[in-house]
Amino acid sequence: MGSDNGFDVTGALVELRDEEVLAWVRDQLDQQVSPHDVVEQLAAGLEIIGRKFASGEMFIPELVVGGEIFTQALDLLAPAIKATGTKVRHLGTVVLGTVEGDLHDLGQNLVAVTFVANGFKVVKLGADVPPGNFVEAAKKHSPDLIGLSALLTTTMEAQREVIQAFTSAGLRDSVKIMVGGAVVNQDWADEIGADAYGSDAIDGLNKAKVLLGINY
Amino acid sequence: MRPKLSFLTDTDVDRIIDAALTVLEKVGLHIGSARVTDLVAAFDGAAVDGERVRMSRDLVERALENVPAEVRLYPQDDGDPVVLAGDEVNYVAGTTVPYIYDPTVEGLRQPTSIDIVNHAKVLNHCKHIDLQAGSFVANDVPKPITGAYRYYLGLLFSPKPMFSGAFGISDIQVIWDLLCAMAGGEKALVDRPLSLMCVNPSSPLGLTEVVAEMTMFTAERNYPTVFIPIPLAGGTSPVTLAGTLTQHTAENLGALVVCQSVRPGAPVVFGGGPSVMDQLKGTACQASPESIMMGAASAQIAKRLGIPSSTNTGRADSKVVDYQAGEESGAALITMALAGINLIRGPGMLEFANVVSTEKMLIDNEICGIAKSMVRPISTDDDALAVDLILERGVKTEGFMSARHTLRWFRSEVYMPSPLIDRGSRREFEEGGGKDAFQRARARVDEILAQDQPREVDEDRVREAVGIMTAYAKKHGMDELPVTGVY
Repeated sequence: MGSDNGFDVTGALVELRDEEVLAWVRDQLDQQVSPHDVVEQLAAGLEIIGRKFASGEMFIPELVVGGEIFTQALDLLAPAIKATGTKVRHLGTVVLGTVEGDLHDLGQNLVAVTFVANGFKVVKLGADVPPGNFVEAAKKHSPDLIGLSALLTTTMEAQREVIQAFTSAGLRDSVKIMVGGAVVNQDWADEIGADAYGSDAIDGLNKAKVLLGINY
Repeated sequence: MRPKLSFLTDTDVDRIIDAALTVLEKVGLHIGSARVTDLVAAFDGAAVDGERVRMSRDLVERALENVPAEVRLYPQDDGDPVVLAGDEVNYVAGTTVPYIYDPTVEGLRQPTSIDIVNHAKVLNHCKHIDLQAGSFVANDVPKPITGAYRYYLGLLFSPKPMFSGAFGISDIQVIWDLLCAMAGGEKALVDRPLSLMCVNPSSPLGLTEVVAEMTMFTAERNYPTVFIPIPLAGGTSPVTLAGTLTQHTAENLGALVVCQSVRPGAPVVFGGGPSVMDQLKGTACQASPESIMMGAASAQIAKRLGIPSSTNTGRADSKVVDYQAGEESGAALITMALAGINLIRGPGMLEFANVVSTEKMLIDNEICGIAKSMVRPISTDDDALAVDLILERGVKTEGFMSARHTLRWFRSEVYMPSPLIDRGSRREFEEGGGKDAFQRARARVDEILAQDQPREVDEDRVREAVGIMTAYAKKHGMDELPVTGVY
């Protein structure tokens, strides 16, 4: 537990008391407490939120806010973590985006929250993302997985274009690509050469773990 | 008295409209077309702010001044027009989905031309569903032509007016040409519109380039347009119902200003599908109680503004045609009629409006009939009160079945559903095979298709439509269409 006067930061995160959590993180940094110890207590809180969400005791807005507090805390801790010369242990880095011409990013946001709550680092590119931007993001963040979202029959073709862009850039083998969205299905994923199809956020998470060889 | 359902007081309605005007005044709409932005910006009260166009209250109020209070849509045959005005209730079949529910596999399948044709044929037997829509996205034609192809098959195989949009700028011209062909020319089409064009503002507060251009296209031609924003409470709009209604109203009014900037007085319908995000599953619920509440409330707002109304309600979130689907569609189709909504678009839809079932459409047709019967006034005139009859027969035991009063009144007082609604005895039920509603609907679909005859349609118009669609298909690599005539 915490090395100061017993402030239960794990519980505070579960209760979404954001100002208190971040104040405590700043305090731990001032006291030069190991940033990894700090992350561990926060991650424990996120895990509890995830479990409560899975059992229907906590809901999406709470999951999202919990994830945001966690991410803000990680941002505060980033310099200290870098200084230790080690990285935060997470299951992988995921880049998510909704393809060009499509403005629907609700699904992307739900997937992001699900992955963050389950220990992944997530970079969100937002909506209407041209293929080139996915490639640039891959070069910048070295993700393990890229998730492409498309909600309309008129925009799903752009998922194929993204995969082709990765092939043209010589990066196709460096990353796994998953597709999702209401009009997308396994046949489509197979046709365009995607590595997987996620039918919803949890399915995407489970398939990501399979793709990345994570079995916990 | 026409029974009415209201969820908002007049003060509530005014507060929402006022809030929407504030939103338009302070942040306006994001319009993705520079051409359309420039057009709107030329009007007094419009201010371009980066990619947004802010709209003053005065601009919105001026735009509303000339909007017609009534829109009429016409079938291809001699049937009555569909009147969108006041509390007239009309139902629209569910629309533009990528999957059909196939009872032979008890699951989903991607639809093809024959599904669209069969669906239209069955719809022609749904007397309480007044309009067709683009039913399915066909899988047996090139993707780029699927938007226009829905119109092509729908117009060929059903005379009902069409409620649908276009998938892009490239297919709206083809759609227009098809409509003109089946109407007998552009003037005939505009005088007696065969369809209502949908445009979908993006929530929050946006018109993509395609949608802005489509709005311009129909407004230029003085052709009726319905705006369909679909804000999702807690997702793409505030979680409060009033907040979603405010945003929804702003999205409608903003699109209306664009339309009226192109052509003052162009006919429009205030539409949409405000709904909620399930707070555990993240799914876009089409059938929640809030969809009903907001649907009815949005109609009150439309009526206050003096514009016809439309809602995306009557759909099911259920994956199958079961009790849940019945509750979901039943509750909505009936309450929307009580709310006096002019267009209720939902019969046939399942699974968050991603799937259509032809069998469900038939059952929903029954609910539409029940709903329309429930908005009848109850007459309390002297004859209806039947005091003399009660005085005469109420003191005897012979009952009322043979009374001439009964003969005079029974047809108008007792709504009779089709045999799809089982009101028979247990013996009849068992002798009929003990079928539930879905099984009965399946049998009826088979019966309709087995007995179907080609509809009467002008051969020259059909030939022209086939020519237009074939040319479009050829541009996208298909030399011969799967369907080349009415059968």
